Amino acid sequence: MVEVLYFADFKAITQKEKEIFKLSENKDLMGIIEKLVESYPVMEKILLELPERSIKDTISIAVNHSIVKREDWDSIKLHDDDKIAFLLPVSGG
Amino acid sequence: MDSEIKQTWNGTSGIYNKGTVDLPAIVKSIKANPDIEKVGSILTFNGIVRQTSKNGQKVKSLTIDSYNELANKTIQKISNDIKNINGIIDLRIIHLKGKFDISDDLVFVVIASSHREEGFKALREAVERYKTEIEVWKREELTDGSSEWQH
Repeated sequence: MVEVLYFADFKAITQKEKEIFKLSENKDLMGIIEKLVESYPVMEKILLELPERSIKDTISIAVNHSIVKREDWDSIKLHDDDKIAFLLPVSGG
Repeated sequence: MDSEIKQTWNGTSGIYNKGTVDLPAIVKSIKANPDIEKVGSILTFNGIVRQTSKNGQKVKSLTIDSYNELANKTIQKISNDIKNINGIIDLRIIHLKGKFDISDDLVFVVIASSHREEGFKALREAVERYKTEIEVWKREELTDGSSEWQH
């Protein structure tokens, strides 16, 4: 099980600050994204380029409070208790 | 996540709840630096909530959300980079979070430098970087009832 942290738009969509998801068989980021989209269909167009279903360039991804480099998105393996966050471009005040 | 937000200001840069720190307290903490005798200039930037959005719409209130763990790390990185500039003695970067009314304080950047020139340059760099690098998001609530997260 991993914990997905929600900020800004994602918090507004889910009405939650965080949520537990089961890891996919591949234990990869795409597995979590597919579960998110299944629970919240509106996230599909925020997270994914369609119809390719690749992760959008506008997204940053953090695992355990560290940003994961884009080149590592495909290879990273998630573990139980990992904390994952999908982030949209920031907008400081 | 709110339980992890610092509720009282401990004198350091970072993300804090609205109302926990003000500009005089930050200047006071800078002046408590043992190296204050090397300082000839304290420059301050105070970002506040503007009544008009970028698109010219009328703003009623503004909400800031933040990923505290990442945002605090990024603020630390910006601070370390600025402190390494020759002539910069001390600085604070503070971004507030919560729900804000028009003209409320949102951000403080305070730079203490030996001379004003390097202070002005460092202040601009710190402000431009916090705007685009730290993991915070703002939502403007407009007077027509609509609202949207800004990116």
